[in-house]
Amino acid sequence: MVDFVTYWSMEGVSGFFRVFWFFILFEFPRFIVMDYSMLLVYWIKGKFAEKDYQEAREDFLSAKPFISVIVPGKNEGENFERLVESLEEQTYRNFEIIIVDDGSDDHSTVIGRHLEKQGRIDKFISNTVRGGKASAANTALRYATGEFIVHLDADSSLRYDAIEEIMIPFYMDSKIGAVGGNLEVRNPDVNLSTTFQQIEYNIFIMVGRMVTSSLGILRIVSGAFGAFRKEALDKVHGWDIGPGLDGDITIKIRKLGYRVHFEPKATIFTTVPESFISLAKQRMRWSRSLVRFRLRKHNNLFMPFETFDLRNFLTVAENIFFNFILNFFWYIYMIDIIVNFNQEILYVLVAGIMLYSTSKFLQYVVVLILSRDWKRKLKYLAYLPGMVFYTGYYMRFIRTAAYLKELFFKDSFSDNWNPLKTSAQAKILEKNIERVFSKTGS
Amino acid sequence: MKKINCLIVEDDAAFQTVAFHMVQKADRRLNPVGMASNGAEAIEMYNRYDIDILFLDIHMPDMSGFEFLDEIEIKEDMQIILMTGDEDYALQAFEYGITDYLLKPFSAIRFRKSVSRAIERLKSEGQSSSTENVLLRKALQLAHSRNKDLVPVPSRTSKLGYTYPLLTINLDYENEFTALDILDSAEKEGLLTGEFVDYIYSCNSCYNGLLHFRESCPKCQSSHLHIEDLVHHFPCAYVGPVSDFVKSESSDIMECPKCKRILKHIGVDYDKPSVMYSCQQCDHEFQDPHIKAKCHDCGADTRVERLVKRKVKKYKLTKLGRDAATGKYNINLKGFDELNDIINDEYFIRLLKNEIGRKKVANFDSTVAALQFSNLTDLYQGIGEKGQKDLIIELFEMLNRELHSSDAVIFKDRITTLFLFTEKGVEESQALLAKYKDRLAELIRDNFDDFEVTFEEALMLIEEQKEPQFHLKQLMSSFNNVE
Repeated sequence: MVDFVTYWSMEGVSGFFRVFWFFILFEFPRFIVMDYSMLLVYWIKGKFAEKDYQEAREDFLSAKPFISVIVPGKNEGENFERLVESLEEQTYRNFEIIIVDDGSDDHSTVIGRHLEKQGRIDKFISNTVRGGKASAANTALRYATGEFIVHLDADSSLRYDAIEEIMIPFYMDSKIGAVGGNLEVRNPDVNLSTTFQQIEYNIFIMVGRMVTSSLGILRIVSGAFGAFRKEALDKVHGWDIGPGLDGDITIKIRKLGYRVHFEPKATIFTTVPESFISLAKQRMRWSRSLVRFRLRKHNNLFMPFETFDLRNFLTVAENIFFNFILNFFWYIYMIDIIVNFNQEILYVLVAGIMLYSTSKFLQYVVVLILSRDWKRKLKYLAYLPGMVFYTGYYMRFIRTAAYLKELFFKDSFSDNWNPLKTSAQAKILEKNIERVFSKTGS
Repeated sequence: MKKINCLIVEDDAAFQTVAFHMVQKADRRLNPVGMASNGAEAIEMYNRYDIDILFLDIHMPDMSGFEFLDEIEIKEDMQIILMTGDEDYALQAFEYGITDYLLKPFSAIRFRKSVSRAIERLKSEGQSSSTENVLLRKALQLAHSRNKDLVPVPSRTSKLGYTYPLLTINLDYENEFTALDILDSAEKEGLLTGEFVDYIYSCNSCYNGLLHFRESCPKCQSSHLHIEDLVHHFPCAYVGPVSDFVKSESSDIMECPKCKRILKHIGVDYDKPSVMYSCQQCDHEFQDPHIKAKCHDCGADTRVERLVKRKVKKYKLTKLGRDAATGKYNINLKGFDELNDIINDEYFIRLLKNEIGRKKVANFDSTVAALQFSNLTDLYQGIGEKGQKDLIIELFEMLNRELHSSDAVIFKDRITTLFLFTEKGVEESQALLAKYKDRLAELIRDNFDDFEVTFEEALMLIEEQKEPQFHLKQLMSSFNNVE
């Protein structure tokens, strides 16, 4: 311990910079500085925007638009009751519920039909042949009659004012085409995995998306809880084949010139994977979509075409830089540390843990300040040192594996998350697009 | 010993007296209640007494004997002995189902024989006098004598769609369905053995088996529906009805409205994952239409789930069935109208009378209560006669399982139940009643799509100085639909 202190007092500030250049150069500005700047902006804005917010709320309530709540899913029957219950308790009531069952092989159809018969859901559409999440969402969209569409995952339940809160931004800014809701973990205290996810959701979804949203570079309206103008969805013709279809549709909507907003007050509680293995599988799927959509499908965002839009560029660039490039860059940093600080590796490791814990703590303070139920979340402070390993290593390795697999094997096309028939077709489509592009290029 | 009431209808005064004496001598049980010398008198007397054996002359001054029979309502088990000097009427008499035909002049021995046969038949029909028993016996006799089975024959002119010629012939069109009930209970009694032939669905209010089936909108009930396949285009994940993809009515080419590509082949780049219905009446879109059956006989339009489903069987006579056909065994089908034992306030009054008697000699509190299902008739409208009966039986059976053994329950009518709580005060009885109400509501909810039944109730202590009828009146007067 004494050695540790002596080592670092000898190294001094310059030594600290030398060892933790990766943190100081990339992570500190991106997460700590940005979070606190955003907090400041949010606080100042909040002072002035309160009136706007109230006006928008009144506009919304007097316009009373009809909303279609659409819920695509497979084998989700057991979640319907809880979801519908939470929808029945909403402060805003002018909506229809459309559940699309995508070829379930359990009792979902029976449960859905029963709810439909009871009049608790308006339409239950059952596709007897599975078609994938995008096709299920598109089915719902085809039969939705609302002016706005709220897309939900079945394994979630809404806070009583969630629908109202997610709609208000549309009335604050008529250019907003999609609003993402805030995700809270429904099962945070089941085990370590879900507790970490709770903290992660708060830091990266709630605060993270507030940051990107206030910068105008929000890249995703999450499928678990997102609201859209129907006209915007109609213009982009709904969802394309996933995985990562929610990020994809957000980019498409942005390309049409709409703004995308994140609303932290609109809260939904979602069930997260309870084991580290199923969590890894889920994140593999999420991470692959970065390669597939950002790097491949929407690569024109990087091109200086006439349609170039700085914000759209930054949206994708930020995502690719911090998630994709830095992810690989980190390994270079690791090699640097291992090669150059071979002898002192233990001191570096301990200091690193302390540094990253502090960083997490600072980030979590923002979470607490912005949370309406901060008292409940206080207890998770104790888990912050653990988060260093969770996000620093566990998540990083999963991401790396996913990127590599997708880059070299186009893994997502053989993902059983989509039925084979659609994946095969998507692959053919992709090839054709590549051919067309290489032709026009030459 | 029960007296057998006889009426002698004879215009010849001398013969009237002779007949009277013969009747008196023939059997001690015979009780000549009156003598009529013309039709008008006879009708008057017939209506005044409960006549078992009728001695009837064909020639009367004001009407013939047959005209007289047309005039009166013939009691089912009444025996008719025709007395006439003219044998030309034998055939006609047979059509009227008379017991015997005495050709004047006849001997006292012939008369006595005829009377004793009438008494014999009176006895056997007294035991099995209901229409169902008579019909079954006839059918058994026909089957036995011709060595035939009771076989269902498909027929579009019969109400059920099937007819049992030997049995159905005696039923009018409206009542043809009772054939199934009769055969069912005959099988239960061991008179027949049945072998499955088919299932039929019939109207739940009139039992018509020839129904008109079609899909209808669950919202507005209209059968004006448009049905379309949904198409899922794999490459772009667009899903919509076929009409979204049709380019022009003249060509078969399907073009995706989202990605504008031409659909190639089902299973390759698209499939049809399901079907959507749209109602042309109310624009409702759905996948789960109600299947309804319209009865062109009574006009009822019923959800198929509520139709009456019955087995149609082919029946053979058992040994017992043959004995019944040859008269060695008396048919007495049980439980024919299932509701007779359930809707029976006379039985309840008897129980109440006993309870009042008990209360006179001992000191305790007993309570009577009435429970009325105030909105059950709304439900009844949709489920037909058979559904109503089944529901009442089920409610009754459930209550009986729940009830304390010393208490009693009975239906007063189809919407009112009466309870007798012995040696229980008001409070205890109220608690029990509340429990039963919960169970009844639950049972109805479970069986009829969450139908919420509402109740009215009345409860009172038994007063030993008052009649049972008083209690009932008192209870019923508290319901607002009683005058």
